[in-house]
Amino acid sequence: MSELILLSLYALLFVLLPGDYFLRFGERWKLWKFTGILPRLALGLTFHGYGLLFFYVLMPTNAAPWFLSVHLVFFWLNRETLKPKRVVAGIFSLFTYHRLGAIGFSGLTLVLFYALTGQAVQDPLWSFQPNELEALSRVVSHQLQWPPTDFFFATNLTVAPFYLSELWGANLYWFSGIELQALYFRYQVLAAWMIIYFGFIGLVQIQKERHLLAWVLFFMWFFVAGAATPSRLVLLSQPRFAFGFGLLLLAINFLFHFRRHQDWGSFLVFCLLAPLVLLAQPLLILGLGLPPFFMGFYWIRQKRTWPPKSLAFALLLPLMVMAGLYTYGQGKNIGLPDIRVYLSGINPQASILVDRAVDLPNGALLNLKKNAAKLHRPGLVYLMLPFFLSVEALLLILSARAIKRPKPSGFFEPGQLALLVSSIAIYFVYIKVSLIPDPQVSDYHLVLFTFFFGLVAAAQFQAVASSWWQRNSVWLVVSLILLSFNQYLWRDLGHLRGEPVDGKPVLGWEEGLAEIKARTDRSKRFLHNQINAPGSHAWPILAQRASAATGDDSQWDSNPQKQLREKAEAILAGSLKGAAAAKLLEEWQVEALLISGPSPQDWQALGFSPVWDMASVTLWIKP
Amino acid sequence: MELFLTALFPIFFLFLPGLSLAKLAAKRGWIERASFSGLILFGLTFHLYSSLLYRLLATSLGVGIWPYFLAHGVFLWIPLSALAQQKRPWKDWLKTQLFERWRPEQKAIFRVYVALVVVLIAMMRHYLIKPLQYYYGDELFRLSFANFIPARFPPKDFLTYSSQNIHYYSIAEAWTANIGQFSGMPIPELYLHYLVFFHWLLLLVGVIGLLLEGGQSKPLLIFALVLLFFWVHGPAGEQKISHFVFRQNSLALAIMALSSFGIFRFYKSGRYVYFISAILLASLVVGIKTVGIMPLGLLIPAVGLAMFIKKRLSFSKLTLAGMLSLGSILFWYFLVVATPVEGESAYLMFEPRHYWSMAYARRIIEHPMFLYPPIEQFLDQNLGFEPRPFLLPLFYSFEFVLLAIGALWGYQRDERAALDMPGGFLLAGGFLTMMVMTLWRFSISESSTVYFLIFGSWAFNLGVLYLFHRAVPLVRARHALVYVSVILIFALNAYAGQSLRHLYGPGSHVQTSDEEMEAYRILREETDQRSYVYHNQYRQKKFNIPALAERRAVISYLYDGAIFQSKELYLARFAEADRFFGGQMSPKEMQQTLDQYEVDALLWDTQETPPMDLEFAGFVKRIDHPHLKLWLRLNPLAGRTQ
Repeated sequence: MSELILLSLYALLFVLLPGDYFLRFGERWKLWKFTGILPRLALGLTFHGYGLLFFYVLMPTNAAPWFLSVHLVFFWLNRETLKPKRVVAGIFSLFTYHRLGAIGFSGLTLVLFYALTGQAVQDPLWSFQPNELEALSRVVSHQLQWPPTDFFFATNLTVAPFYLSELWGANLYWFSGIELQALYFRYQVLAAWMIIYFGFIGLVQIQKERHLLAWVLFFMWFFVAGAATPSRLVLLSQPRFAFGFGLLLLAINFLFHFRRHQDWGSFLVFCLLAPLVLLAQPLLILGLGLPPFFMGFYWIRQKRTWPPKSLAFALLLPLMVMAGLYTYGQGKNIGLPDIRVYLSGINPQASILVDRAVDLPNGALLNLKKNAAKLHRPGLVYLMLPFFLSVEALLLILSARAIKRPKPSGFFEPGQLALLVSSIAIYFVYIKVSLIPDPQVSDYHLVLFTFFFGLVAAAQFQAVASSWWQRNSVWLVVSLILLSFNQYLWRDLGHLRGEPVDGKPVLGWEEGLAEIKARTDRSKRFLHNQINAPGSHAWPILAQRASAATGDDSQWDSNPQKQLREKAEAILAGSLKGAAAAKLLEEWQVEALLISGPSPQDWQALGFSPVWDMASVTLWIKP
Repeated sequence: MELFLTALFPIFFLFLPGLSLAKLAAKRGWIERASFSGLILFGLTFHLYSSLLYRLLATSLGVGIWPYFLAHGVFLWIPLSALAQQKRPWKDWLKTQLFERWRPEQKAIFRVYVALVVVLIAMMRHYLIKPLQYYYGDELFRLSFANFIPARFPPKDFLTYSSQNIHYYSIAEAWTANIGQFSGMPIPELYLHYLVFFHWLLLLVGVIGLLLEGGQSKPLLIFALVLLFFWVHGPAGEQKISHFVFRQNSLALAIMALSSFGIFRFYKSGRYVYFISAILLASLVVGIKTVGIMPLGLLIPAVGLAMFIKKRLSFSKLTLAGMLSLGSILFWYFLVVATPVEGESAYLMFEPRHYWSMAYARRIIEHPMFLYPPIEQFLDQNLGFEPRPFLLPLFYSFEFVLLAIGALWGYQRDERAALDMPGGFLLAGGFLTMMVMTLWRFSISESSTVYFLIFGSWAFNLGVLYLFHRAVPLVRARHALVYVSVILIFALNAYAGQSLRHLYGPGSHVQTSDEEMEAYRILREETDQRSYVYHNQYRQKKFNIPALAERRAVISYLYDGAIFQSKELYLARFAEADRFFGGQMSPKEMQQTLDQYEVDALLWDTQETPPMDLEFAGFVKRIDHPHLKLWLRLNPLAGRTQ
């Protein structure tokens, strides 16, 4: 719980306090007119994101303390608000029935999230997927030096220096000292989910003053429901995606605010948030780009005028997106994925999904494959698939339509329409476009589609059902949640932790890694002979020292790294000995060796001395 | 023509008698204007009682069924007198009866009826009609009863050579015989192809009647609720769906719904005739599928007592109703089910972890039912006793539990309305019946224990439908329709859509070749109805001789733990048949055997035992196929000896 208090303090001092100032600043300059926690959060995070980037570039070795100390200025800037009388009055103003209720139910959401993320700290670090560990390693390497270098291979490559959630993680780690695994896999995820929560509330425009339990239930449904849940929950459990998606929802809130009020300040914030979203997760680009595009299209259709200011702002977004992508691409060994378009065919990843869909319980009514085959239209499967994937969302939209007849102005409010069209477009991108070398990343598009479609459904349902929330729609939502949980969600919740890796270190191994951390210089590397063991990507993180070579299942494994690993394996196997081996270890700046069991290599001849051993594990250090 | 006459049957034998009886009752002030469901309740009760009692009498007097059919001409007096009085063409009268009798607010219900009948016809055409030999063996066995009931009721044993009657559930089969004899449609075809559709229609009338007792609402809502009942049978509901298309069970279910309607009507109107009619009809379930009466075992006495306590029913009428229900149940039980042969007797044994109870706990988990295991585990650890007996029924009817929760939303504005006694008693009766299955098992024929779960669940679902629909006038029907549609679509999409394939019913246990079907045709056409057939397929669960050839068998398959078959007798017959077909008898002994059992035809499956020449015994080979030989006696005995 102390972690939660520390993180709340962080949010208050370094996000909401600046956010509050910028909110009032914008109001004073008539840039926007907002109320509530959402704009404070969005503005605070915008400042926080840019501040992090700025300080880490400006003072690589000591960014965190400087960046955080700068926030003292906001105490001065907010001096009027922070006057004791106003603070006390502000606190007392919270003690109204509705405000306390809102706080209570946000708190309830937080507690639910806290429980859901608990699994992330119960499992050992080596049971996490290599790509997750790779992300976590960046938090560690940010700590050790900036820009960070390759943490798994003895190369001189700079690795992804601007990835936002890892930068943020490093900063949080410096401030809170929370244990790394808990910080990154639990609390950063928890924070990102809360950002999603506020983004959702803002977009769906739930009437917070009324029927709060329904509000929480509704959000929880949106969060987890849908037959695409496994991929959705796996992605939600990844801090990068969750944080990026949370920022995206905040950005879209500002975009919608701009559409409703034509306040160009909101559009400016949207543009400022765009690169941050991409620096957290570049695969969210479609979610970022399509809604303003369709909204602009709608705008033109409405024959709005295009004054020079509008054009300038319209050009700002692509510029910001390009800047975000360019900055993201600065990770030297990680390029943006290549794109393969299947104009006359289907993305193989989508075909796999159809196969999976047939086996899952929720396809019974459509019986996708069989029906499409009967109709001699295999492509129909892909038109039917969205209904299968988001059956709850579809039911909510239909229910909303059935409860209340559509307004003469049309089914969907323009913002919702933009989201709906975007979701459909994203779905078509999913079935037509594959991203290589790892086609599985297409799942991002699928998940984004289900989120957007779910958002539209939630907004639709809330809009028409708000008048009968308490007595009627609560039952419907509760039943839908029960049905979903009973049919698949209870099982799928296991995916919130991702697929665990079945690995276990040999006896004494963890202690050996701790010894490395205690005995070696943080700029040096170590080599070990458990390179290909399952979970071996966790060893450098546990030792908090870069490894000279790591196993071969990492997604960032390129040719030079493979060659390097082969050389390391040759040294460990004793086939490369003497001066050649010593030269390589020197070149790789290896200071420590952790060896389990008998070793064919004569380590003493290479200049290493045994300094510690436990069970069959020996630690060798080069004096 | 046969199909047309079959379609006329419900008009002549249910609707017109029902209409006459309702008019008579209304004239005497016993009831007010009866609804359509009320007419069918009266008509079905009258038809089943009159026809069964007539058959009993006719059997002893040796007369046919036609006097009974002709006597129904008396019910034409209503249309004829109406025509005479109003001087209207018959078309007008029919139009009035079929369409204009529906009050304006009920015209929408009429449209619902039409839509649902279309759905049921589609279901019948899609699922129910297949070649006769492909039907489930037990259904063919039950069909056998229908074949022999026209000759006498209860029928003589046709499974083995015996002079005794065979006692087993046969009221559904007697009802089949009524329709078949009236329409001229072959009984196997009628029983296997069309009978379930009849029962579904009766069920439809019962369910809609029940729903309307809760009050008027949107027709679409009634449509959705009926579809929910017909299409969603819960996870692990495959066996239940199969039983939904079994002829006996579907009739028992339809009667359960109609009787419940009658009891609900009595509770609302205080009209005693409905109570008596419902009791009489319900008691017939004992002769259709005894377990089916269980869920009503709470509803009938509880409603009677409630009405007595409310001083809306006198003590004498309550006593009369009690005696009538007990008397009619015992009457039908001893007439139809209780067997004088020394079969095994079944009783319930308390054994909470018996095979079927555990099997269903597993079957539920096999389906997407991810909440069941953790909830069961949690309660098991915290309650200190096994929660399965309570939990399994809840999850077995999961969607209807959700519907019941939805009903609460309507009742939260009017708590007193929730205390609707008949709905609650039907629901509770169903739930308790389901619990019987989880705690007890039959001493023999253990698999029959699942009937408690199946019938209990149907009753529970009916109770929930009624309570939900009753809650609807308190809120907007459109919202209720959304709620039901969401549950219906979700369930169909999750599993129920695929589970509906079980409406095809289980397949046959054994294969029947084209040659065998040809042999059955020859037996039907070239032998006397009273002929005995000796065959060597008695170790297969095959009842084709009495079912499809419509002839008596000297020996048939012995059911494990059957209450209607004497094990000693069958084992002796098996030993004798083994010697006969195994070639261990001398020609003289074979001749004696064939004469002793009055065998007119002999069906020899050469894959069971090698064939033999029977010309010496006065038989001629009618089918000579490598796998099948059919011998017919040159000078048949049937008719000479019986």
